[in-house]
Amino acid sequence: MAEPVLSFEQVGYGWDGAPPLLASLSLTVAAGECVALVGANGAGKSTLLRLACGLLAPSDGRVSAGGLDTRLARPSALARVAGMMFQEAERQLCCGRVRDEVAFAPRLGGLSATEVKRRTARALEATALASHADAHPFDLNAGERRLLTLAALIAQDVPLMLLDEPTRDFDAVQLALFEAWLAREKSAGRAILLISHDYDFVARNCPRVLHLAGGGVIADGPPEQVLHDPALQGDSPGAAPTLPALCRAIGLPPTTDAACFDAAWRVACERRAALSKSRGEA
Amino acid sequence: MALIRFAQASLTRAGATAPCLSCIDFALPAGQTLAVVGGSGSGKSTLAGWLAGWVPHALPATEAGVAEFDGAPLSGALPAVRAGQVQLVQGNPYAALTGCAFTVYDEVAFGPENLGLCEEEIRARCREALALCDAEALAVRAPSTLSGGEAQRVALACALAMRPRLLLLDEAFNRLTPAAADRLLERLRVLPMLTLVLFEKSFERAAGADLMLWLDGGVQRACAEAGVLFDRVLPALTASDAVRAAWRSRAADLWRDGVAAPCSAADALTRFAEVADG
Repeated sequence: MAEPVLSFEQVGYGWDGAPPLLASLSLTVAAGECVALVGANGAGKSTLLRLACGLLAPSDGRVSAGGLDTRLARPSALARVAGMMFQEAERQLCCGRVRDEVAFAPRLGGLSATEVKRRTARALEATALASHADAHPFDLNAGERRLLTLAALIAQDVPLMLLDEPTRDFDAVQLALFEAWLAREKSAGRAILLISHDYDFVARNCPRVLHLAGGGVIADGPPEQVLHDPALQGDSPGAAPTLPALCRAIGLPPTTDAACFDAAWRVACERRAALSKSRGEA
Repeated sequence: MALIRFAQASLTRAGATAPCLSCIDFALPAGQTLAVVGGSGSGKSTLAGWLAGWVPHALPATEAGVAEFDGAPLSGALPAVRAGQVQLVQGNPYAALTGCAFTVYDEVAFGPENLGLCEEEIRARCREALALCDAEALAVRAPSTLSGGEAQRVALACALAMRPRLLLLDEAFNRLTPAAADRLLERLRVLPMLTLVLFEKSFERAAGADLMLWLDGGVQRACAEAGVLFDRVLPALTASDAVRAAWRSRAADLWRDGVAAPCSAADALTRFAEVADG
């Protein structure tokens, strides 16, 4: 089996003066996997992502990204294997123009001017930001700023992407754009580990979900199984993922796919109409 | 009398020719909740700043029409005076932290201290605000070590400690788990004498409000109950898959007359069952 793109082996971490946040935590993410990390506020999700890209070093155990031990590897080497989208887009923007922001990582990586330009253009197109290329990042709206951080990651072109609540600032149109990108990346073999509180989004896009609590991964499995923990969202009848819940409530085959649901619902409605018509005739 | 009243109001940023907000027209009685909804760039945060009293000192702009808070012009009031009446919590909680407090408790006390209140009153307000936000355990933490969700609870506690009459929540729960956000919002809605204005991209978070105002490209398109606006606003907003399924069913005429549009995922289950059982 190929070496995982990301692996945590018995990792422990604690902030100075605080009790350990993560303890004996092990996990792997393989190429082509899109894995969601869920958990309560303060469970250590963002800390785990920082450990994954080497911004933090584990107190115990070993973290390996793209085959590099994050404790030993140079930052420039880590930047070639792992890219991070921070929770606050504003905290990772450092250039005065959208175009320069996207070109920042490939330029630092020592790529040729032609390659930097090619990557920048491709990333701006994928995120629908080409028309804002000369704007100041802070003149964009929150959703566009988030897309800009995505464009910077696309241009960085790393095998492991770590996304901290990537969808939070998106409206419906931007979310659809992001999900289309995600689908392409998954099939292209990119490894993605993302944090999200939008469990419908998780169910639609992440076949594997990790539940982080009490310093470790307490559940690792498909979204329907892992997300049903009452600790995550209570146990209301509309608990996410909501489409399978809706299917079960009205007797349709459970699905997270909107088109499948619509087709099944249409058939159910037509059957009901035919039945009611035949009753009327009788 | 309405606590907030806008009549054909518009706002034009300094140096701009076209207004960034226009046709703003609504009245909100004290104690009620308004949800301002719209997609990215629709003008929600600008309206939030306007309501927070940022015009003109923090948001250089000129206004036209009527824009009033408690019967007086919204703009031009002294920020120090307005701070005790109106509080804005923004989506980025770190922007609300002063950066000069070593503990969360001191951070929450910062506002009341600047109101010149007595120590006993400050302590009471801090305790109350931290408890409301389930943030008592964070009181001794350094603000710089807070996670996004924890910082959001603290930012909200800082605003509540000022005991405002009007609380503006500009996507102020976006770092919390859905369950935690619902619980907090429910607590705020039942606080006596507090008027809430939510600014949301999420239909469901907004749907519980008494009134929904839809912004699109800086223009007020409609202001009505959520159920009335459902079919028009949903394409621009985020919503759970179950609620979006209801929107598609209604658009495809696979719904039943007399069955209301859902305002939450749990509600969607009930509404679909009503359509199916009809």
